[in-house]
Amino acid sequence: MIGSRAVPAHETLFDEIKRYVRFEDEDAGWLAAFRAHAAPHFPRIADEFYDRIREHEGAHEVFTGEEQVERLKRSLVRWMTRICTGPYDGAYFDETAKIGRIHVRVGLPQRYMFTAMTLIRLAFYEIAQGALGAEAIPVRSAVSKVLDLELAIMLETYRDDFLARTQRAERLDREEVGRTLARTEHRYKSAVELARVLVVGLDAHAVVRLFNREAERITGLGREDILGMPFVEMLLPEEIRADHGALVEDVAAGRRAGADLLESSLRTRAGKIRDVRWQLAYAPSAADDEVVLFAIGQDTTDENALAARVRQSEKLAAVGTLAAGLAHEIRNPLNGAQLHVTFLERGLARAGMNDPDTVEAIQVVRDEIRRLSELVSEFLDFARPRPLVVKPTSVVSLCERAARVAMASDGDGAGAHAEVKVDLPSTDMVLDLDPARIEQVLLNLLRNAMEAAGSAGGGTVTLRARRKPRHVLLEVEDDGPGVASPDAPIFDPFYSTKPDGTGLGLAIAHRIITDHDGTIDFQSRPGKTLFRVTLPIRLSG
Amino acid sequence: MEPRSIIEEPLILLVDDDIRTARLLARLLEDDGFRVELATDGAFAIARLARTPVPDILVTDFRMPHADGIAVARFARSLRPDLPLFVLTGYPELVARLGRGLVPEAVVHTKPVDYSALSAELRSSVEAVSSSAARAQPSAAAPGPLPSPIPA
Repeated sequence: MIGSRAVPAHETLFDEIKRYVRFEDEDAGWLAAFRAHAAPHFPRIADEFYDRIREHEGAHEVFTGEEQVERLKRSLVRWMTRICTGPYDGAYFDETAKIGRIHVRVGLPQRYMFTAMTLIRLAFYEIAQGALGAEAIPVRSAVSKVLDLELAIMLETYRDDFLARTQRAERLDREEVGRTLARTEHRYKSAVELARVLVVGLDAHAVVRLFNREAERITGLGREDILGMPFVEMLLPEEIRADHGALVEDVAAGRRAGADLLESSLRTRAGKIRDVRWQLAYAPSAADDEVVLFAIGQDTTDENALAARVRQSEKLAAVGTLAAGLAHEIRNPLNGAQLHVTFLERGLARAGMNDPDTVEAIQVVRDEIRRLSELVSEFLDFARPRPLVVKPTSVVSLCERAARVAMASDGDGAGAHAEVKVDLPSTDMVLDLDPARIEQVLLNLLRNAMEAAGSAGGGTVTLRARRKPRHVLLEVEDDGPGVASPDAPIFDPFYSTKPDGTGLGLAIAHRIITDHDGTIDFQSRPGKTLFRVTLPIRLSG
Repeated sequence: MEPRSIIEEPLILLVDDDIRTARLLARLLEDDGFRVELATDGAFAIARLARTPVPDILVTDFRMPHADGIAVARFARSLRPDLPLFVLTGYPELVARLGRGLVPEAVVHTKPVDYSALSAELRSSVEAVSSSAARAQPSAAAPGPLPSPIPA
């Protein structure tokens, strides 16, 4: 009988599973006997085995080509020989485990290992049945055992592989966590360093302990200049030290709850003032030199200038809409007046009246009507500007033309006899702009300048064009007495210093330049007034 | 007035709701040798155009009750495709935009109108039309298909 056997103290895995299926020496004997009959069938079984595999995509995928399949068939024949021959020892186990590992390596799904084994099993049973008659029964039993042993060993290798993979994944996870920590720290540092905001950290005494790159860039002060120095004295403009300085010192010392937002300014190394909007965050600390006040700041200098320009545009738009309708309607009574003047002139001529005073009076009315009419047109032009007609335009020839036109129309104005010089680059610049409207801007600026320069008698006006990296700079300079008050809202509509000015010339210029996404500003002192227009260079394509 | 041999004095239909100014303009034009009929809004103008004789020139204001100058102009053109059109307006840009598609184009004068320039242009426009009509065929003034009024 099969009976029970004592369990050895130290049993290998192979021995243990052999014991489980009761694989005995006589099984080895039956297999050896079977082999004598079966060996001639092995090549055929191998063929059938691989033909079957080919029917299944998931199994077939592991093959690389016919040559490999032929090699595998030879291995299979060797394997069939081996499982029928033994010896079923440690080396046998290792050999089977090796095959199992190959299956794992090539990624053969386990299900195919099982199903393929059935094919071998049935083929062997069939041979046993045919060749061995009554002996077939113990042979089948031995075949069954040895094939299950094979499966058991190969399954072990899948399990080993799974464990190894899990361990590898865990190791990778641990490494990843380490890397992530390092990365996070690096990111925080970079965030502070590279952010386009000023990050300044102060200790309880409002001494600068942290000063990021943007803060260096904006102030022009290096870390070595500023770290360890008092924030208020180093960075605040004198005018606001009493006010904002005291606030910052109080917040840093914890004497006052921090205002979250502080609109303030900084003095740069060069003495310039930059507007900064600070966000303050207070984090108390016991250590004396620890950062307790984080100030995150944004340079709003340009933003403020932009906001001012936007306000100007909005104001103009509101004025425009309101008044445009009125301006149109003024044209009707003007038309009536003008026709009546014509009628009056004819009547007088017909009656033979040519009293000079009367003739002059009529001419005055006619002139006044014309002036009013021009004002209306100019105003409408300003209030309801036509859309820009943009095309590539040579800046140099545009400037030359504007200067020519300005000089040709000179002499209309009282005593305006200024000399106009052009200072243009030798290399032309071609910009996408509305040439008629930019010419209008230049003419407005030139005529103003000529009047200013000519008022003292024979001044000089210079029209200058320069290419800058991102824009073209157009300047109109005169040596006249200068704008009376540099803070005057000269770009506002109807602001005029000239007795017969409409007050719209510069407002229109401002509008046109703004429509071109450009800027216009001026500097003025007696003897030098400079209007500066920038037009962006659009790098298309 | 100098004798104008074969051609009768050209007939202008002047359309303007500013009656005082329109009367004065009519008077000036009559002095310059035109016949002028006055319509004081768009609806009157269209009603007048539906009757014969069809005027030789249409001079119209733009903003008027009932039908604007462009509507009147389009109606007139449906009767006489080559009718010279003059629009006197405080809204030249708007008229130019709305009048797109009128061939030949309407002549737009911005108010206040320069009378002598207007008068000269009116004169040359009728001369241009009558000479080209004479060259083309004698029945140039035959009415076209039934016109449909265009809403303002």
